Amino acid sequence: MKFVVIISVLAAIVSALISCFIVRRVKKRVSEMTEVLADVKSGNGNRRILSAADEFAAPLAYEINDMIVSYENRLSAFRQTEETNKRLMTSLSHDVRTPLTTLIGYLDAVHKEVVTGIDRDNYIEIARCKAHDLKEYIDVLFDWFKLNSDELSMEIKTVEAAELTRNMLSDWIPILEERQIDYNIVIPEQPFKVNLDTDGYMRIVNNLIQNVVAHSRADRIEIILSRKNSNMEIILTDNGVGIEKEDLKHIFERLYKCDRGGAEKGSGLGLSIVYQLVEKMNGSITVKSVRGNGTTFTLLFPLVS
Amino acid sequence: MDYIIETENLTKKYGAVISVADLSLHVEKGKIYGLLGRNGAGKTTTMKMLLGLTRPTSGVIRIWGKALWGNEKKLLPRIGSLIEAPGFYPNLTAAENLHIFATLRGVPGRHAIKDALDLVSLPYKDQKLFSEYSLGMKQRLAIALAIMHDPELLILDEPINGLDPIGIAEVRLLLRRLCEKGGKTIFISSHILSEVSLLADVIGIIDKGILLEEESLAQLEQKSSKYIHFTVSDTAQAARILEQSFQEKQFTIRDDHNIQLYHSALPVTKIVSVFVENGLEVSEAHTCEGSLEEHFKRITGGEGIA
Amino acid sequence: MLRLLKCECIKLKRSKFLLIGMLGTLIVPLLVCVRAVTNYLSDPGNVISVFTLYDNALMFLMLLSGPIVLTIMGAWIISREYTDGTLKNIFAIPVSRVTFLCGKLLFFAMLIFLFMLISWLEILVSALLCSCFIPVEQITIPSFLFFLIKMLFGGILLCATQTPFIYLTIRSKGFVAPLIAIAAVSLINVVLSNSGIAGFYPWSASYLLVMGRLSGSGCTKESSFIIILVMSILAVAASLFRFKKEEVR
Repeated sequence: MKFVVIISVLAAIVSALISCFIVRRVKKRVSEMTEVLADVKSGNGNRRILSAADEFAAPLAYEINDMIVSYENRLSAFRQTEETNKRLMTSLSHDVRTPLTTLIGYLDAVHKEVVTGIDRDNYIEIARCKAHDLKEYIDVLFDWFKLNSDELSMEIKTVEAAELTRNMLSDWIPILEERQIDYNIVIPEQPFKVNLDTDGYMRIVNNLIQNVVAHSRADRIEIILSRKNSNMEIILTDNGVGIEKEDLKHIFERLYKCDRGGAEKGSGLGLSIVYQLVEKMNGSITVKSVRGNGTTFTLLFPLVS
Repeated sequence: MDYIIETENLTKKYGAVISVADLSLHVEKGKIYGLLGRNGAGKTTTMKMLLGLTRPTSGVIRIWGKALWGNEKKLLPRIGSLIEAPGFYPNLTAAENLHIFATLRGVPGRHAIKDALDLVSLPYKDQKLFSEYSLGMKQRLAIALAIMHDPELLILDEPINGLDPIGIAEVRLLLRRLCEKGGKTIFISSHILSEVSLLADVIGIIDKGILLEEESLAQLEQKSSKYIHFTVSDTAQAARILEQSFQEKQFTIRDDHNIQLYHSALPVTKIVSVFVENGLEVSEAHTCEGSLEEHFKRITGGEGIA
Repeated sequence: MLRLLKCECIKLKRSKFLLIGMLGTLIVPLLVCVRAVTNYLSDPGNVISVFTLYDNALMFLMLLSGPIVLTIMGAWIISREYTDGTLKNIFAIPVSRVTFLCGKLLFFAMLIFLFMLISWLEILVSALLCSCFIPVEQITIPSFLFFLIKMLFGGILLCATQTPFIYLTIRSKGFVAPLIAIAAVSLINVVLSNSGIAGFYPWSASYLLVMGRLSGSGCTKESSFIIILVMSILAVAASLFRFKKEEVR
């Protein structure tokens, strides 16, 4: 009898000790988790609660982590846009300041009568061109902002693209001839029915050709429109300077410029705009290029059956 | 400025040999910091001290603003690390090896081991033992271990050692993504200048245990890019003259008085004299040139880095 | 601590050393039994008894093969962390150096007890098997239990006498130094086995203590206990101290 009593007392003491131990561990764990959550609350979304898979708190810890990660992902998207905008603002101030200051330089020279006669008219003409370039740049910038803030209203409807393309390209012919660029344009007679926003489509094609004319130093351009499976395919090839392999990967990214540190360059927005417009019309755009041998852009738009 | 890692006069002596001397590092949040130096410059020793693997002879280490000494239990689980050669148990598979460390430290999710292996493109269900792994695969596993618990800070010692060119590009992309999308802070060391300049935002150059320079890549590029800098009374006129008299169009106007001319082979004196002829005051004109290599050569005293 | 032990178990997977350890464990009781049987077959006067079986087995286990096999195991489970370069990963988790070493020591102790249990079980089984064909004396539950306690007691003493080799492993960060040491210790064991001062020599004394044969060696039970205890405490303290200062170079 005495023996039983001793055993049961011992068992009680042992179990009390064990439960004390467990309670202490749980308390410690909870306070650790609270500390992490406080850190997350104060803005550190990279903090995680670490837990071994067999631990009692593991499911709770993993759920909380999942939640933190999903919020953090959303936040990081915001932060990235913010970062891009910040970068854009700095590069903008440079990209606008340089041409604008140069323009002022010409007008000042005229104003202070540094030049006279025919030189004076010349200067005014240069200033006028520069002003136009600047306006064009600002237009592009505006488009880009609108595209990125989803404010651009697209009116996607079924249009006949072959005729549309033909009309657009006919406007380019005098410019190409003036720049002494050989051209080969192939557009079939049959109609191509595609769901497009007409303005957007025109901007895509115009942008691509403008790029060739302004930056590629090509003397030949080829534009071929054809049917490929259930898509309309437009292949635009030039024989210009081409694009470095390293640059090719980033060419559709915002603010990417191939030639760094120079003054004569595009805004770095043109191809980004093209890319976003194509995406919005459910099309696709790919680029191939060999340095020194020219560049090929391939556009695909699904045909309406 | 709050730094993730901050050291003050960190010094480590092995006997009479000074491995790291008076090192004061500053690693900012969300940046990739590249510690550049030759083999034996003290990079690994520095990292070991940051991880509490080696006790500094003197100096202070603060991580997240807290002294490392005495707070290891709180600070180290938030750090992922890779030091020197990958160290794993040769008789176990990749997943079993990671399982050991996951059990000891804890992981943030149920599939953390698989996710980590996926990120470094190693197979999860593979019976291949660590001893049968190639050098590149071992290195990948070490990176997987470093990122398995989704740490806020990564301390990676020569992370691209032993990787093939494709692997290097993958790891570079992975680290960039962790930093840009994930907001992680990354501290890497390397003896390859081109690698650091491709990856890092801030570069610290260490030579014979001494930190020679600590600067952002942008600043360094500024220092090392080729251009002529003019400080003049009127940048508008300077720009006009460059265009009209020299047919130079590659310039950037910094503000009302500073203009930089790129890719020009013209002698500076000639440009200055034309500026002066046109009634401009030129208070400064200098050429900035030289590649990063040349810059490093200069500051390491002629021997170069890699 | 539980996690550390679990991890130690995972680390043994597919390892050759576990196999060597197991073979080393299994071979001694088997040889003892085989010798007893052959002795009996050559002269039926040499009756096999559970007592002689365990007595012989314990002698080998405590004096010769046991220490060697266990030192190999112990040196391996510690030195591998150095040679595989895993310490830096473990310390960076962080696992405190003291906790880690305590885990290792505890795991090693568990291996030693496992070693003794397996030996005991093996003799039990072989004795039962033999008794089916030839007469074996003392096959009773109390005699087996008696030796189980003796074996476990031996296990405790083995744990204590293994500690210096652990220290040597940590000190040399390798495998070779403890092996040379255990070879020397075993040789001295053989030399001293019947001399008067064996009781002062911890490795011989532990065997004599288990078998209660200390009286012939001119050393009291207490003093040989104290010698072993002091030695093991010193070795553990030195190991912990050394490991605590461990720097991953």
